[in-house]
Amino acid sequence: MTALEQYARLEAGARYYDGQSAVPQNVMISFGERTLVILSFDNQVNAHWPLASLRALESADQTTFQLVPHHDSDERVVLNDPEMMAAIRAVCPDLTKRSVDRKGVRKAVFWGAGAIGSVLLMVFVIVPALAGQLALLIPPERERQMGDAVAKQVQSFLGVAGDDAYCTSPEGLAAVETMRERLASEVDLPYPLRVDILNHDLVNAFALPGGRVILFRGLIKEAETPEEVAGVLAHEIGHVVHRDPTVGALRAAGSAGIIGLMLGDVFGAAVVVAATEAVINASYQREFETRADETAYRLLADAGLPSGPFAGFFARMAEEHGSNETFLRYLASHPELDGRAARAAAADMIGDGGFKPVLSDRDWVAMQEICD
Amino acid sequence: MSDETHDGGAGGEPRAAWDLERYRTVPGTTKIRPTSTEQRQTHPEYTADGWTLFWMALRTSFMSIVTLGIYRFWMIVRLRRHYWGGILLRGDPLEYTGRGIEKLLGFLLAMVILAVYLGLVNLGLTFLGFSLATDDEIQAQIAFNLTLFATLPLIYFAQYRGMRYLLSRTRWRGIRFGMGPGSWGYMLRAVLLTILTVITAGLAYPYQHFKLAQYMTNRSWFGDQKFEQHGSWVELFAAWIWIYIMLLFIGLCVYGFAESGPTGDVFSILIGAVIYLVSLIGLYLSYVRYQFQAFKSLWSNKTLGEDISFESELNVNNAVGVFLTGSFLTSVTISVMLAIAGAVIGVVFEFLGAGGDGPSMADIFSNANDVQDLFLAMLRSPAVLIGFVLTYLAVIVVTFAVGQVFFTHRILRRKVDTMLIHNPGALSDSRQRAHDGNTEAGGFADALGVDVGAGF
Repeated sequence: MTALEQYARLEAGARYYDGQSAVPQNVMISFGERTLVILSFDNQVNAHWPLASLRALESADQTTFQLVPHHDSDERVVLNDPEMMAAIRAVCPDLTKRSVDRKGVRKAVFWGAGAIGSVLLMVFVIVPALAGQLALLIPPERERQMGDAVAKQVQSFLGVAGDDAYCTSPEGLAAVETMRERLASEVDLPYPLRVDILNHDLVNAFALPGGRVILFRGLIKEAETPEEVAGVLAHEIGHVVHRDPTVGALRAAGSAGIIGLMLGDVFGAAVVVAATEAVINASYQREFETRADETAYRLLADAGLPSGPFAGFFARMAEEHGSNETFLRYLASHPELDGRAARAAAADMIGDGGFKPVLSDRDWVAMQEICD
Repeated sequence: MSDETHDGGAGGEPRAAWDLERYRTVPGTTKIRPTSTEQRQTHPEYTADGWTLFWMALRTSFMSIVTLGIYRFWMIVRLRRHYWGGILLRGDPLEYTGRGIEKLLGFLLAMVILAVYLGLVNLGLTFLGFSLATDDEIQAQIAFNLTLFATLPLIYFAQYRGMRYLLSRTRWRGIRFGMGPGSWGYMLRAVLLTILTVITAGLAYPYQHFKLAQYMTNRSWFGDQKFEQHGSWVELFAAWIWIYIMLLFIGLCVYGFAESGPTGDVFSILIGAVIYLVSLIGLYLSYVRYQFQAFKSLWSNKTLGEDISFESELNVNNAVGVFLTGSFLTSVTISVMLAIAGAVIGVVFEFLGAGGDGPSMADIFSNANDVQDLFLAMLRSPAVLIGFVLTYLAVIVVTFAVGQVFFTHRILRRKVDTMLIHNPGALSDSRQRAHDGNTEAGGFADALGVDVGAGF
């Protein structure tokens, strides 16, 4: 209380607002016992504000002080007297303290959980489920057009020219047709399954909307046996059967923007948003790949082919191209290699037993030379 | 100091004792009687301090990043308190009473709804785009534009509610500002007017701007006194048309370029390029100028209550100059920062890299084929990675703080200092209005990033 005693005789003029109107009333303020005393000249205003709950808003240049008796009050006192301002600062340590809104925090925790829950629910349950259903409703003809459009984009991205983009040696095409027939004769699709060999030396393959599968020349060159190519093709047919390219596009559209909302626009959240969306897409992708693998094992088994070479191919590629990041990147979105090999081995119905090769030696040579 | 009250013996001299009699001798009155011409009009003062703002923005934006954006609601509240408190009207400051927790709550509430809405709408519209359109290009375009169109109504809805929250948390002399309900009506009008603007190739934009501003203003209150927007959109149109003149000019340049193109001599191409560049900057500045002109015209035609009217004496060209120097200062600051950070990272890396087994900086950059390779290579070298993350953080934080000081602060000062309020005495007639309990009203605006701005 010594500080207060020191200022006991201090007083200063100020303007008082009663919280009901904007009419200023001239008052003198001074310190009472644990209170700030506000008195007007005609004694119409006579208020005692407890110092403990007193709060102040300082103007930016610190020449004006706006006092509030407590947080929720509408009353204000505005003063400019530097001495009085210093005195109030000295005796009221909590002057700028803001009480924690405990109820608000509890609500925030509740709604925060709700917000995260609704985002997760959307991204991982509702959007995937709806995308799967909606993909089946898209007319097959439109889906094929989409696939053609994407194929064109991929070509221009890889810099493969229009006419020579696809390999078309007649013998090679016949070999591809033989392989397709062996694997996909039983597959039920609303459009014909179309397999193209892209004239590019990446070791890659992908499926497009509308039943299109594109194998890269590089992949066929790297394969040691036709069964390895058949394994990859069966995997891509798996994507086609589940309409993964279309479902994927729908899912990405549905989940895009939701994460961006959460982090706001204020700071370079774009990086975090992009990373999170990449993680979400990778998790979608992983699900697709696992499912496509399972279908591939079934197709291979139905065709009387071993699934071992399929997994072996990836293992070999990883060994040979360990440093090649393009290849690793392709693997990154795919199921873990070890587990994949194990599952492939488990699904293998043939083992070391004999089987009818997917292609004759002559066809296999024709396929390997399809681009020459 | 207020010019409507008499200085009631203010002054620091301590007096002997409590002497109520003394007060009666002080000539004082609680009624306002505008007596001189001075009191018939007044300028508000802007007193906020740039350095205080800079450190505040630096600190709070850093906190916002560290907390993954959660603190940003408190940051905005603190910045607004600073700006509001810096605006003195007749000696009394404006006051911002918004609270971070309210803003966070509103945001979370909006998130719950938006996540579901956006997910379903985006999915549905993409599906429609895939199913209906025949041409690939058009198909992609339609899907994209429909998505935009689905968010647009929400954005307008959010703008109104954001403004409503802002006004309801603004006080002067303890009396609240406020805004009546009307977000749905605003949304409907805004969407229709946007369609009109698109149909007229942007010519109707000033009309849209004016009508929407009028809609908001006519629902705004200070205490029990109502704001009104008068005037017309024609004044805005006069500023808007400059953008078309600039576009025409650029069109001519491009045409001239194409004509002289490969056959023309180097000199004329160079001249053409310079003219092209200058007119692009001119186009942007015409837009900036339009915004200031719109502020001036709109405020010069606003009234409050029966008697009070506003007049903005903003010098528009001066304001554009402030904007230009702000851009220049900001880019210089960022360039200097990047240069320093680059040098520091380089030195640190060479120092650490020599002893370690990681690749050298030169190797990383020469072996990288694309950004992704670069990124992967950097992941292998922690020193570089940390350096880049720190630089990234520093640049964002400083850019934000510098932007607040060089743009928001400087422009706000011009706007406030040039505002003229006629018959300000009538401001005192305002009676208190009820508290607007719509605490989460700002949430949609925060979630969609269409709040009035980070600080303002």
